[in-house]
Amino acid sequence: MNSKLLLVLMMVCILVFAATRVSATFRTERFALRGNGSFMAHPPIFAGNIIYGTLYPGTFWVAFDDTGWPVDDLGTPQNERWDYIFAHYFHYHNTVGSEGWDGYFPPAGSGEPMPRWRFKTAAGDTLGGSCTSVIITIRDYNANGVVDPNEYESKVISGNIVDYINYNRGCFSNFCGQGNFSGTLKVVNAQTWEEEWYVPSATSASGRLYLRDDACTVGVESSSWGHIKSIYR
Amino acid sequence: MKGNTVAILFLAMLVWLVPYGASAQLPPSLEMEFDFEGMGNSIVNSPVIYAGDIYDGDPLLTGASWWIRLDDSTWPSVNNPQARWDYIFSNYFHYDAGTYSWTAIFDEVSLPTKPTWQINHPVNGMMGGTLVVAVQYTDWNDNHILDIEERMLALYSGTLIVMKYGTGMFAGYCGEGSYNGALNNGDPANWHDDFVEGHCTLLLKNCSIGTRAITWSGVKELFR
Repeated sequence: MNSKLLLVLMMVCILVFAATRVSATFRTERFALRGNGSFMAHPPIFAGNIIYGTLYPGTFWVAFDDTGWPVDDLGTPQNERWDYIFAHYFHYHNTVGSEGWDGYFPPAGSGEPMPRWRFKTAAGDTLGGSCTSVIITIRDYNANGVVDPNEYESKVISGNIVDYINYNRGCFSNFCGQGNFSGTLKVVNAQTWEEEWYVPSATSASGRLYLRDDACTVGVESSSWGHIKSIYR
Repeated sequence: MKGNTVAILFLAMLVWLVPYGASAQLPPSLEMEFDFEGMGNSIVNSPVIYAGDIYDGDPLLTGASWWIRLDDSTWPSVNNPQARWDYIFSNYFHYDAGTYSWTAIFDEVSLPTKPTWQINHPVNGMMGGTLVVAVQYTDWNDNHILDIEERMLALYSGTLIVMKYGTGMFAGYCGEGSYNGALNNGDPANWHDDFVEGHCTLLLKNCSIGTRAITWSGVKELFR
């Protein structure tokens, strides 16, 4: 009788264990970011601090793939690198009173390389993946169809992201997911085209990640990203 | 007695004028943030309007209502929800196997006209403009099929432009903004409404001079 009871208890334990193993764990992370970078740099990386949220304190970087982007020729008055970026990624919208340029990285449906991102908390936990869409909008305040310096210096930015399990470490090593962010991109040094990547705020984190610990797919990055990783690891 | 009456009238006039003086002293630029939530249904409702409230953030905007509108004039009728969903999914959402996700961009390229938005505060006024929306679904089981449970959560982000034709405290301001958030649907199989919530940042500046003229009929046409 006792052996039968033990057997039943063992089976119950196994079932409970199995049930807990197959059920997914979900977690939501929030973040706010402040960092600097420049599209003139090679590679163009925006890096800085996680300033608020569940991942605070920590650091971040977002890197764009500049394969095919020309270098600015200092011997010419124009900036060839910006001209290429502007022509390739941005398009003008001329609704009267709402004129401006929207830039998509990568261009919608193009299949071009996506920007990459990494977070690292002070505790040593890491998260990383790709940005499926980053949108940068420049307002054409005087509606003249030309990006004036005062229009370029203050822009807005948004993006959707995916998080790969193979770039996660520490307490996130079993997780993957998706997320998004929005904020501003303002010039802080007109000479170097250095800009501030800001996802608000220091009191309310607006960036978000929705993570789960099952059915995670491994993300793949090309070997050229090794250089970036070695810098910001 | 007559002097008292004059004094009271003078004070009353001051009370009446002070709010206008205060609004005139708004800074040349404003950076505002707020949290919002609302409902909408792009499958069974036409026109496609998502609307709700601003429940936290900048005091000038908290308590306001908002809406965004997508031009669905080329989409199948709401009388056949399945055909409408199939059309939206096959025409707007692109699958990327590397990120196991679908992304759709709603803008003036993918739609007949650019999406529009508006914020209405009962006291402080109205502002509006155009926006672009990027929506993302995740292929959690990596089978390249958007399963019904995967349709229960979408993430969205985007940028917007603030036109200068606001009213009240927002009159004379224009600018730009960005937002991000989540879309939840408790029963996508039966075309239930979407619940949306998110965060928005606005960069406003005084645009009362130096920008292109527009007729009010043009503005009204945008927000019709």
